[in-house]
Amino acid sequence: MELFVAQALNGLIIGLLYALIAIGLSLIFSVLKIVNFAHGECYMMGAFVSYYFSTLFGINPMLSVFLSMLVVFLLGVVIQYLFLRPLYTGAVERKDEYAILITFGLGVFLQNVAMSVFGPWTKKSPDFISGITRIGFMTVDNNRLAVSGVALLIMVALLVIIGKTFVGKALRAVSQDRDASAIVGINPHRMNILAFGIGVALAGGAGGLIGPIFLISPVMGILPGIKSFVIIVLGGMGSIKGAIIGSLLLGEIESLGSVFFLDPTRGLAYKNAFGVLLLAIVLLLKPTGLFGEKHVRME
Amino acid sequence: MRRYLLTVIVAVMVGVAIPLLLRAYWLHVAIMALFYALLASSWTMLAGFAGQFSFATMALAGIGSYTSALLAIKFHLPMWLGIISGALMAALVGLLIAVLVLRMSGPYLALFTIAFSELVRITLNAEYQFTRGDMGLTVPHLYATISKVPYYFTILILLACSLLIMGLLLRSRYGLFFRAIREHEEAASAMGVNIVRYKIMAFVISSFFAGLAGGFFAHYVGTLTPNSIMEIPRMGLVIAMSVIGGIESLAGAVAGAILVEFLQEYLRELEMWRFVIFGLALVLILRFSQNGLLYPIYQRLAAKRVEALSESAA
Amino acid sequence: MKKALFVIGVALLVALLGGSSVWCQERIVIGGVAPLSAPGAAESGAEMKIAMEMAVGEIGKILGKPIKLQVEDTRGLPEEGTAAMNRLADAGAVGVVGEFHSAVAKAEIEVANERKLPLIVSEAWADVITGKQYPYVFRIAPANSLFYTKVADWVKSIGAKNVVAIVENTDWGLGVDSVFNATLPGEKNINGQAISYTSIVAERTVSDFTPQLLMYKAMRPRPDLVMDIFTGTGEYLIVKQAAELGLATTRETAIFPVGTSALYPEYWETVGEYGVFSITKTGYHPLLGVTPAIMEFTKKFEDKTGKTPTFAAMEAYDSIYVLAKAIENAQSTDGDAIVAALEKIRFDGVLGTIWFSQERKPDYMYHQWPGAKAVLIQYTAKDQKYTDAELIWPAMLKP
Repeated sequence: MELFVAQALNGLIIGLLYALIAIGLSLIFSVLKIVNFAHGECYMMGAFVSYYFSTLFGINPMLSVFLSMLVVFLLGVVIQYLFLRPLYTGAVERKDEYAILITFGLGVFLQNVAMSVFGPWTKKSPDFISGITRIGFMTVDNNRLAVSGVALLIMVALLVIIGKTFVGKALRAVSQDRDASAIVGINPHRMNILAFGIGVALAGGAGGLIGPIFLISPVMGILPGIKSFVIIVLGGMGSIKGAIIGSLLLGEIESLGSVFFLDPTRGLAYKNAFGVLLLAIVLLLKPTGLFGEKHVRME
Repeated sequence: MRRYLLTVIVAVMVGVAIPLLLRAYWLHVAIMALFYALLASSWTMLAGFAGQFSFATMALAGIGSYTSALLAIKFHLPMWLGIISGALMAALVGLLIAVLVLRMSGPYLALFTIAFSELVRITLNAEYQFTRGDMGLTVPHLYATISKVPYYFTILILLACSLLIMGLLLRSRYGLFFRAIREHEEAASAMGVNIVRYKIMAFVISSFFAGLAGGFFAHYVGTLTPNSIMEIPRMGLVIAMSVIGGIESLAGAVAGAILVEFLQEYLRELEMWRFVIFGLALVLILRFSQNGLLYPIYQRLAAKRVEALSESAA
Repeated sequence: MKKALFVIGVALLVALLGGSSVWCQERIVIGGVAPLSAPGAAESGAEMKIAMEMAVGEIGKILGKPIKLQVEDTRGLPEEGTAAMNRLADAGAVGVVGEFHSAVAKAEIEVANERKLPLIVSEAWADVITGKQYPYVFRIAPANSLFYTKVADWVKSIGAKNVVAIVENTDWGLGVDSVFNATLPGEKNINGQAISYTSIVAERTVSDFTPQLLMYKAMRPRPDLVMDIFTGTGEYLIVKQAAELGLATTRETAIFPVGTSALYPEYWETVGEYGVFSITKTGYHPLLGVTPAIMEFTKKFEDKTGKTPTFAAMEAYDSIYVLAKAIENAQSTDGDAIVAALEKIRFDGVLGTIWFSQERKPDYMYHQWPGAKAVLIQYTAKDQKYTDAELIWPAMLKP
């Protein structure tokens, strides 16, 4: 029983971290209607930028994370303007294809740039709070606690922004109907930029937060990228609530699943498979996921 | 007809000449280039023509590889039989995927095929007692000699036959159906095109050739690991080849594969930066020249020829 | 049709440009194979490359001709190893040294044998590398069986009852696991208690081992020893997460990162104080005997890179010297002559006097350096260099 609770707690923490990555992806999908196949790489870039802020310039680790979110936001704006804008100005014929290929290509590009510039070695960002805490019979690393807390804060902040502020309403408007929003005076292009920027900034922030816990390397984005896809499909594309719930679910499934698997010695080997299996099943049975809208196509 | 024959003869001559001109290592590069050409062209048929942007090609090639390798090792099946079996197995799995993705399009299809690829890769790794996973499965070589020449001709012939079959298919009305599906699925369906049948056909045929390539790869390289053949970045390379060469033609896929593979070797000095260059090329070409790099050059040459012709006619 | 012609034209052009390169005959080409980029262990590969370059720089000439060292990146992938060996053979290499990953070395020995290219494996431990008894393959690094059977003896000697492990699913990891599986379960330790050994296999890319470590922590009796049979990032993460969970290092439980990564300063950067009292293995330790050769090598290496070399670098360094010496002894660059010279060679390298056994039993002894050794050390303070760590085994070497 003890073991179960400890595993469940671990799953929860992991889930919160996944959530940060996934809600960014979800936001991008709901406003821009594309899946950002470079999301994992934006997460990775955030991790590295945060690392360099805190090690080269000695900036406080938590502040570095927020600074890196800013940097990744700017990166997102640039990417959106250079490569994604044509999707919305009618310059591209087959939009879905183009979106998939170009974001995928950007991901490949960013990954290789990171490998060449940062080097292939693993690095660790400085701790936010070092040491461990004991809660009853369980021990948890302080970093994980700190990060979970910050992740929760960011998520709440985002939900408030989306739900209550004007900008949030504008974003929601564009996600529901681009043309109608334009008619009422919202600039969809600007909303696109904002949504993409915020979306990748969230991923970058997640990367920065995870740095001290899981270490950073140029290839660190591949698996989380795939997992974020799993989550948004599971939760329903375009639904932020779905993304959060989907993330927590995936976190739990991975933690509990790998231990209570049929063959415990193999559970760990299959851990990363749970997510993709889930993705495949959800896409087959209920493509709209738990909370999603109907199948969205760009045309 | 005459021009067609001429092209074929020239192609054959060039193909035969290559082993005489290249030394062992570069011959290996040529063999890999042709291997990738087979993969890229099968992907082009599926994606560039039929509009199914699947990321499962490498996984299917991997299935072909492992099927062929394991049949040869465990059941001592003759390797040729093994390679065909591998291709058939891949085609079968391709059929499965096709049926599952019938209702999916765009990003959903992409995501599903990525998930599928990862699932295959992870399973092959985890069941290492059977597949030797990351440790590497030692596969018997196709030919007893260490010379690469027989392998070169093998892949050349495989590629040529595949291109012939795919080319004929795409030139026929089936090709038109594929293109209709890519352009506008609902309209095609409204016009009476049996979407289900042709999507499945595209997947199965494309998967067969991917599996064929995989089978060849296994018995050529002699060592198989799931991560080397099936990781997503490798799929990205194949996509890059197809896009750079021109996503809408088989010839483009072949050209792209040869170009990228040889460039990869030339630029070895640059180490990691060569992949940065490819990534950049991929992105820029997609953005500014959707039909690939070679197409504009080819068009310019064709235009000049037309000019010359019209001048001589005038 | 024209399109096809055009494509063929491009292809021919590209291929011709590729195929035609002139190579100058006046240099002796020595090949090096090492992982220099992901997914290989790039830190170790980088070390090996530097050591090889140092050696070549010092040797200068062989048979009166300048040396050209060509180091190929094998990336930890077997087919890159095959490709690299072929490239080196085509470039006219007379011998190749190196490799860090067992799975890649296994592919490389095949090419070595086919193309009659002598290969001295400097840091890949799988038994089968010399176990296949290929005439052109030699090894300076220890064989898994040579070393880990002795580690099993150590486990018994410290009175461990419950040994648990997390294993990476590579040739090396699974090799070590099978040695432990053959030597530990059911055997009695020094207190007469039966030893149990449990292992879990994982992919190198796994980052969260917490669930499995929690499982181990919940075992009763508590584990005495956690074997971290991993390299690279995973190796660090296991140490870190085990400590975060309170599993190891504690009064009852020790942790043993078995891969090489615990010897690098990055270890302390990533695991911090959790690394104190962890145990690891090394092929070199000052208490094994500090010869002037070692001190010189270490100093030169540190001057050049600012880092302390590990035994991987030393092995690479010695491999180059051994190969060069063999070529001089044979007075020839012919593969068979070099092999014959290697079989008879006795060379005083940084790691000791190197020679190669001709024994065929056990099968991995053929062309293996029997003197290859490794010892177990335990870190006693944070940021400690491995050379300052305490030597805990073999006991007879303790001061």
